[in-house]
Amino acid sequence: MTEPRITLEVARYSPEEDDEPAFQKYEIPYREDWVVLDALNHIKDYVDETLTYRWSCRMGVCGSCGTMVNGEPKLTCSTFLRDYYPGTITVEPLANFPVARDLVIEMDDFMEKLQAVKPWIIRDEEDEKPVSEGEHLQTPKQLEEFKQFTMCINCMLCYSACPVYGLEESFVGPAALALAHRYNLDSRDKGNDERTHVVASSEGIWECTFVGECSVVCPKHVDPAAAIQRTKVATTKDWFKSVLMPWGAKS
Amino acid sequence: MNYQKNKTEPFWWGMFSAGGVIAALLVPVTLFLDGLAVPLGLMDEGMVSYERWQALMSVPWIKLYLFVLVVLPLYHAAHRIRFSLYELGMREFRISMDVICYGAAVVGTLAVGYVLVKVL
Amino acid sequence: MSERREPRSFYPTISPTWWLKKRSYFMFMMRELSSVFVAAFVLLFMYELFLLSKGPETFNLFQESLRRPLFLLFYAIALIFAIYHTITWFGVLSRIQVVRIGSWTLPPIFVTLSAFGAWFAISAAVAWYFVK
Repeated sequence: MTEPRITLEVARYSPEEDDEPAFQKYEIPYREDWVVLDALNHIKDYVDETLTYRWSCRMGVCGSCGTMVNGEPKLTCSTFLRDYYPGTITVEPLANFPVARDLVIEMDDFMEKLQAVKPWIIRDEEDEKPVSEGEHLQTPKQLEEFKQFTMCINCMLCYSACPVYGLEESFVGPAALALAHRYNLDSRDKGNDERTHVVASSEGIWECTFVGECSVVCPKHVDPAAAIQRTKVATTKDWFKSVLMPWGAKS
Repeated sequence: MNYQKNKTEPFWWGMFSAGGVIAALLVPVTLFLDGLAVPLGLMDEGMVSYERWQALMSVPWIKLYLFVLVVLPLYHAAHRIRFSLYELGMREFRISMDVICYGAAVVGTLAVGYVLVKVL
Repeated sequence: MSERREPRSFYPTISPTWWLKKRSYFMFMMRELSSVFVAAFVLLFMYELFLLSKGPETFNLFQESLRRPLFLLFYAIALIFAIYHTITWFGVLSRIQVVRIGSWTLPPIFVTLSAFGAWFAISAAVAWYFVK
């Protein structure tokens, strides 16, 4: 009895030797319960130890294993071989990012953008009450306002799906803008003014044309496209208010 | 990277949005009535006659309605064309292209306003 | 395999025909293209109205030419694009406009249904006003 087999065509790139990536074919055992990550691990353990790729939690929460599978941005730990079997599976590094080696991309650009939107609670020091007065409270209703946008695992699949980011590297991008929105909506946060010069810049929300693919590929259903459009609405409303009713204007 | 809040985009996006709403609500029915209802035999030819339209033009708010119907979608299209040109790879002369796109919408606005007020 | 050198990353480029590579990208471009047909129609419509100032003969002559096959084809294609614009515009509204009353959130489907309902109602009103 022959074991079922499946073929993976994996992009290889050596930064010291190659000018561009090239595919290498691996024919490996097929198991119905395997994900692409299992296949890559099998290749590395038994077939070709030089294959280089990122992974960590293997359960879709760490955001490390973002990869292009048959041309679509996917988490390899959450993408089942059985959805492609018996066809060949093409595995490539995440699109729109520089390739460091094989399936590993350089994520510096994303990290800079993430940092630029200050994705942490910013408090107003004057508003702070002493510890003795007890905790700050947040109601379930307040949490509901932004909870969806907290689910981002920084996997960057949205950056790979976004043609605007592919065409214009300066675009702040879906995840960073969705996270800025998450903190702006958080009742505990007072940092909107500190983020607005990034969010409402030409490279921020205004670069987005609502292609919407970012939300389609997001494994955590964050809907970054919605976050960006809602930010556009809010920013535009504020702008018209400040122009048409300049008294009592915010900066 | 030196980020700066963009102080003019909200205006164009607001116009794009308003144009989008007007286009979404009014253009399909208007298009159908103007171009297809009569040829399809669903409307009498007399409905789009010279006399009928002249009568409509004398209704005071009709001209305002027509102004909104025609002008706002121009800003919607200008904005979409501007960004589509970027997405087709044409970013090099983007300032000139932006001026042409929005400029055309502004020229359209003035022309339509002039026709509705002075000519008709 | 070339000579070993200082390691350098590979920088992929995106071709201007990126939007032909995936169906969703292509439909996005069609959505953007719809705005061109919408603008073309409203300008044509304005031109028709402008011809009212040129007298009944000129006006009627142009109306007759609008019944010719080429114009009918334009109208048909433009109508398809115009409806596509409406569907895509109102289709995403529920993700952008969330309605909350107190701690209760209106199910998004109601926002969508209201928008399309308004579209039907307004279209019917316009048609009724025009044919009465």
